[in-house]
Amino acid sequence: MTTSKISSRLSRRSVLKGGVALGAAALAAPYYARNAFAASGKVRVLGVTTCALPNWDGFAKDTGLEMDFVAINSDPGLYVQEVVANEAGDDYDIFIFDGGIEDRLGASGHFQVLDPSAMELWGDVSADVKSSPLLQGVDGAQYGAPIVFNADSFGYWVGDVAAADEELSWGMVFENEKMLGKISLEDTWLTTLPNAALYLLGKGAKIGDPSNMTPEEAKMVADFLIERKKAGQFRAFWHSYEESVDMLGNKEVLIEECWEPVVKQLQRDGKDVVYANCKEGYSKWMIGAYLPSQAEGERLEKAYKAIDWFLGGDYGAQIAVNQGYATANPAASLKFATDAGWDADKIGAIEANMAKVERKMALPHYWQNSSPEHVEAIEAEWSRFKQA
Amino acid sequence: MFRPPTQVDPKGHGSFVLIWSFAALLPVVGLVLWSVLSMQNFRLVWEPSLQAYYDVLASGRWEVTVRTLRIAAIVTLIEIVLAVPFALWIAKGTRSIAVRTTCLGLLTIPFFLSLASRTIVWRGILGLNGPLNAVLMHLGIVDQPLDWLLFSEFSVVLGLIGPYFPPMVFPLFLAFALIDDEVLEASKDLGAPPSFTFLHVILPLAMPGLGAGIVFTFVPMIGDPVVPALLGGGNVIVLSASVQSLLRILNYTVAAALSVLMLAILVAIIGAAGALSARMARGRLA
Repeated sequence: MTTSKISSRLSRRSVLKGGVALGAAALAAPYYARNAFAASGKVRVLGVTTCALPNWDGFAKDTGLEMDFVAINSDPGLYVQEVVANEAGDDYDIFIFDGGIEDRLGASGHFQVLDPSAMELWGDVSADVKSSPLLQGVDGAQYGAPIVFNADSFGYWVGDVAAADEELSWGMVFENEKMLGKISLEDTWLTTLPNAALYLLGKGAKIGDPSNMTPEEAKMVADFLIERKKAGQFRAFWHSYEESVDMLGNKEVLIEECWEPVVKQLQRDGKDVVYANCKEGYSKWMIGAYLPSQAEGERLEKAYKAIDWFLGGDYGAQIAVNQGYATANPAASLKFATDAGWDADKIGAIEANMAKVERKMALPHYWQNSSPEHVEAIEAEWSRFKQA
Repeated sequence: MFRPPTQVDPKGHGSFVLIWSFAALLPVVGLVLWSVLSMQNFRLVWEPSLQAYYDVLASGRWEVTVRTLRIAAIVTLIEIVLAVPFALWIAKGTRSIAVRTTCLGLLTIPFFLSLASRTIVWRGILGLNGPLNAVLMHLGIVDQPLDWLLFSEFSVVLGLIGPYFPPMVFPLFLAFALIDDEVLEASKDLGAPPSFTFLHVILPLAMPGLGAGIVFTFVPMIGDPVVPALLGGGNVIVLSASVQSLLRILNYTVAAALSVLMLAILVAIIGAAGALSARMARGRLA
């Protein structure tokens, strides 16, 4: 044997050994980490970015717990994978996700049913909000607690499209001969298909629930959208918040199906855009807090304590001022801000937000459902529209 | 003791093949397997079915494979046209080492910036209210801003040219640089005009470089999610976007079927190209 061969063998073996040691260390790490979490006063939350606060000092002060918020994108596939395949319930005490997912993850035993008596503020949350189908399973079991919600529509340039407070139809977005090529849509079946369905529903189409369409209904809506696409109605589809701000902001489009903070940001930049009041209704969404079935004992106690805080005034006031979204208990938010001596304009923003939420909720609407029964068929119809 | 001429331990060969099989072939086998299984409640179940392939055809998803291949082929052709003269000039045209080093150095700059941030710049330039439309309107070439400049197949192709230029230039440069100057001199001395020398001496000798350049541009472009998403504006759906949309609802089987379809097309293309070049090589020898 040559020397070079010996050395090459040795090095290969030592590399292998090193690899095994590294692998063992990597496997062992989460075990130590998990034990450490259990012992500390930390609440581990896996939640969508929308619900995160810039800092959690108020939470720590009120509950005596430390918030460990791990942000996740608003992507149903992603969190189903986290919960089902990666068994995230072992590592997290609370999940904060877009509602709708509990229909499946509740039934499959990954979420546990909430115990209302474990939360002091549960009774103060209005029954309409608590009973949202985005918090309850198909059997009516209460899996989620409301964290933030809103009713979405579209933004538009005031001078070019319509007056600021005019009540508009979703037809402005989907069937608008004057605005051919001046409209952008969100690139997802989750909002755009039901919004188009809402418009068709207003025109007399037979659609049961826009957010839980049958394959036939989804096909009808996709056919309508394809017809409009061929007419040149849509300029582009946006994929991210920044993109949607950019597209409407620099007048690449004049009307955009978008989130409310997009319009807020453009208004702060001095742009003359507003968020539409809709005739037919809104795309309502809600983000809920869910408990993994693995949480029990001390972990469960901490989790309930944390959810209770989300239902209170501190969290609600911050969300209302920063994002204009609704929370479980708006009256408590107003009281918190007043007691804490917040500026008049911030308190005004909370009051305006309360009025807005009340007006929007009064309209007929549907709840955005991230997990419709026929999701495969709906996504396939969406893909057919995108291909056309 | 038998020793192969390369002095490489045959057992080393064996373990390399083994590792390669696990790293590269196993995922492909998994992909094929997933594409013929069924999904129930977000889980794969052991029920063989061709439903996923039917879904790919029924929803028009197969069109993304055609579109993706078309865009990749167009951009690859453009890269060849741009990169061949450029690489030839760096390798043989300039005698200044400083110029050569600077040019090659400049080509590495794109690798320091993320693809997304390089691509997003085009949005401002090509938009309805961007400088390009402003110039065209100012010059009176058009009286309405051109909307096909952005969010179209045109903008996607344009956006792909920049990032995939260096991977085409580098292998071509290496291949050109390896050609002995004396060969070129000989061709010239024998009275061949530059075009003849290029076609019959340089190009055949640089074929391996061209082949590598095509592989380094065409293949990664097929999976590129960034440029089509940012410049296509949702109007140019390529393979990566379609697969992502499927994975978002955990529809693994259809995503796998779509990928298998693309893989089969690629293997067929590469097989055909290989057969063609083998036949050409035999023709030359005969």
